[in-house]
Amino acid sequence: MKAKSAKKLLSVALAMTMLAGVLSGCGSDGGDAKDDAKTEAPADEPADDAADKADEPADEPADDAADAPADDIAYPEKGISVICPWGAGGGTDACLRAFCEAMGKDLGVALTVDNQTGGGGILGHQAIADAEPDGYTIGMITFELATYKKLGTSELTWEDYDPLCRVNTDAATVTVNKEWADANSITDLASYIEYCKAHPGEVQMGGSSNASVWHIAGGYLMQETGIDIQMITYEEGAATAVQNAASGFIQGVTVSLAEARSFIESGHLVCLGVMDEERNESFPDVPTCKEEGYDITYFTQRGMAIPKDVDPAIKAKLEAACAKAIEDPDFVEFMKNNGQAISYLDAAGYTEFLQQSAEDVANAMDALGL
Amino acid sequence: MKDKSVLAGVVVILLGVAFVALFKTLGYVICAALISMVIMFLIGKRNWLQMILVSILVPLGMWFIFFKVLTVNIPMGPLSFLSDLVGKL
Amino acid sequence: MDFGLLLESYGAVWGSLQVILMTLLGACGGVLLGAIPGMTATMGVALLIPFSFGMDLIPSIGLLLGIYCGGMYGGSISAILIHAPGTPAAAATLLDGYPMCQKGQAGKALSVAMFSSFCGGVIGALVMTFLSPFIANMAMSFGPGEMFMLAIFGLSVIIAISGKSITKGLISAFLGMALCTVGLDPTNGIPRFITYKQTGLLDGFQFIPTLIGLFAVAEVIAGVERIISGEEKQEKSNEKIKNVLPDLATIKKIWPNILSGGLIGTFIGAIPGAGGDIAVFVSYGASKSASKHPELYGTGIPNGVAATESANNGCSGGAMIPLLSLGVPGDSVTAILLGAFIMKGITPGPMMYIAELPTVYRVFAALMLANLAMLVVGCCGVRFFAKIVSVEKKMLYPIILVISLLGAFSINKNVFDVGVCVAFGVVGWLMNKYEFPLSPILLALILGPMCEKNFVRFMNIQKGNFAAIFQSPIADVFMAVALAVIIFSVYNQRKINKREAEAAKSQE
Repeated sequence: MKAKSAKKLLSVALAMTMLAGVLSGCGSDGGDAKDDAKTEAPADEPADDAADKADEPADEPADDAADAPADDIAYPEKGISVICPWGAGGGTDACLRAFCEAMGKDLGVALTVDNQTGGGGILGHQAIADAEPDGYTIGMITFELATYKKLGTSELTWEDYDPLCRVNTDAATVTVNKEWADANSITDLASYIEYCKAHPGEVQMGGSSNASVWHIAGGYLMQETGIDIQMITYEEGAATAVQNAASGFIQGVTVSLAEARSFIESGHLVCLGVMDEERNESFPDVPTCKEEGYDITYFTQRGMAIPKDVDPAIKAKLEAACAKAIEDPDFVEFMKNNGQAISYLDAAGYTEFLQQSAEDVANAMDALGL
Repeated sequence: MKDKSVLAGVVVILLGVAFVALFKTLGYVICAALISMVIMFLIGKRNWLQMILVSILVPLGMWFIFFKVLTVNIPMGPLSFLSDLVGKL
Repeated sequence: MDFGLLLESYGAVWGSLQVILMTLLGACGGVLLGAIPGMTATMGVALLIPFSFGMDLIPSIGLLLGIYCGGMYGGSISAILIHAPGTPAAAATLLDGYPMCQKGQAGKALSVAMFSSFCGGVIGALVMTFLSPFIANMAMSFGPGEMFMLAIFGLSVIIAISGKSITKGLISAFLGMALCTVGLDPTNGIPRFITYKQTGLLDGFQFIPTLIGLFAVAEVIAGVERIISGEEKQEKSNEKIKNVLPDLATIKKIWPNILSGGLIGTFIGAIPGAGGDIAVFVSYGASKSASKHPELYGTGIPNGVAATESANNGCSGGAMIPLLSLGVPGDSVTAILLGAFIMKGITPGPMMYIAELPTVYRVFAALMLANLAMLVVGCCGVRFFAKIVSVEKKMLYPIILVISLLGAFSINKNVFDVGVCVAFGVVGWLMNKYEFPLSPILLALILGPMCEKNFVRFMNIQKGNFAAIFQSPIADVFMAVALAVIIFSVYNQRKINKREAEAAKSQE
């Protein structure tokens, strides 16, 4: 290849690569995340009408809504898109799909789950906050929302949403490797705490990824009990942490019962206490930390939310659908099989909870040095 | 001769960049059809009927598979009415 | 091992029309989904899980396993025909598959791929059936140190597959490693490099758009170039595909590759966190190193295809082992399968073998059935798939481009990923021009994060004492093998280069 054309080729190609990067960056989340998500949402099927109305005054979500009387609005008229910030097949996704099916029964239309993953949930959460407030795009928000601002990866907080209801909470636990526990005469939570106090910085517990709920639960545990343990992060997820604990590479995990289930049942791991108000139905023998003398509760949460400024009549209908769905027998059975606990809070209650939780999380993150 | 072919390669890259830039506004099918037509013309195809049919049907088909069968939302831009139409099926 | 129960389970599963139909449906869907770049078996499984809500456990497992096995084969179709791996695990298949296609042997490549996939899958299923407890124990002993050494071993394979210039291979690999560093730091969550401004890069360069860009888009650009400069020949399907299965002569040649590939795939698949994308390269490297004519690898020989395809289907059997025995998913598809089990009220894990042994055996039978279904679907489709090469190149390349760009988008539904895809298309095109091998970048992209995460985690647990790694027998083994691979490959490549230089000299 001639030197001249090689040079020309190289410079053109480099320019192209940069151009591609810049253009795609401008086109999507790089420059202005809000703008992008706004044009992203109308691209979803049900909200397509809203795209045309994007230029019109924003206080008219759907033409019909303004005409009909407040408690008998023509909503929903078509399918609703439900954004899930996490991947298909995961815990949040599974729970959401089941809940959507139940909601659909009451609303009479299909609720389709739209997985918008990435950035540890940021992209999906952002999409929900930026969606058209016409009631045709709603979403599920999760615990991680409370961590973004503190981590500095996003400015999002619970205040960017209009919460509808809380659906599920899964409590963290103190679960340890049985062999290790036996070798060190650890039989319950109290003896575990004692051991940790006697050996500061030695005990290693696993959570899942950095700043995930289980990781922070570990920090919370440290804060409330005054022990000094080392939290090891597992970006691949809780499953790897659980396996490492069962094999003895680390001493234990703070993940939920559902995630440690198979090894607890086989005896590799033993759960010393679940950080919840009441015992878990599927594990009636596991005491709560409260019972063991330590008043600590910590859980991940998942709930439904809509962007701000949705018509109150539409919101009311959605809230009613949520209340019905949470009691739907198919949904209840699904959650039971899945090992996930239903813990309902209505819109007002959820809002309060989110506010409190945001504070708690910030404190716990301080303890971890995040 | 070599330079001409390299130039052609660069054009394809430019088209790719254009695709990314216009994706949001024009939607997948239109963008895909456009770059498909241009590339075919560029590499010497002149059978207009085949060009148009393939350029339109293939993206349309792919969109259908992804949207209806796999329930993946694809931006359609001005053609969003198709999404609504098919969504009701 | 309760043989009576095993036989009874096979009878129950293979005799049930519903299960057979569901498995065939899954295999069809899997093959088609796998063949579309950007649509992976994982997605297919995740999207079809809701369909299985209403069914009993075994028919729905049949459906999902059908998709899983079908998907692993399906990826090779597009890898061979259009140089666009349909799934990451098919990335190594195109090393020899595509050259075979270019030589006019597309049908042969496809049938070798299908046959090897089937055999590899059977090997995996057999190992799973008879050796699960043993392998599960082995999988349990893989902690951060061992995983780190496994990653190092995987990286050493780069030397084996670098081709003519090992230096260029290393440079590619380093480029890949550098690319891995973009995104959030896995241990501390701190954004690195340019991630600051781009939310699209928070997870680093998305793997599949990168894969599609490097292989598919780059090839389209190259193809356009070739057409303009007149070098491109239009293939007429001259191949007479007499039998959809490869002929005996070919099978005689490739059976060692199939056997080694299937075993390698099974073992690597059984390690949670390591999957098909790693196994295929290790298998390819192993086959090449053990071959009498390593210089032929990459020019289009069935052995190369056999080695990779048997490995990626062996993985499916392997990944099921930790799933059933430990409740720990071996890869992303088994993670979804785990969810499916739980939804039906069964918790896979050590207790499953005690409390639900019939179910376990039925799953074994279902996996074997899924492999068979994949073979059937593959046989029916080979003739049809091979015809794709006769599509006029001038129309085929734009079609490939258009499909690939959509595939890149569909992963996260993010336009940014399409930009990444195009950018890597440019990178791949340049690398081809200057004869840098592409596979090392890919391997580095896969193994880099695994290497880093586990190294940091290991150091955290050992509080900085790296020497502790020598205490682990598994880690020592991998270290030794990695060194052996490097030394042997360098020596081997020197020999090949010398041979070629002498051959060229004697022709002057």
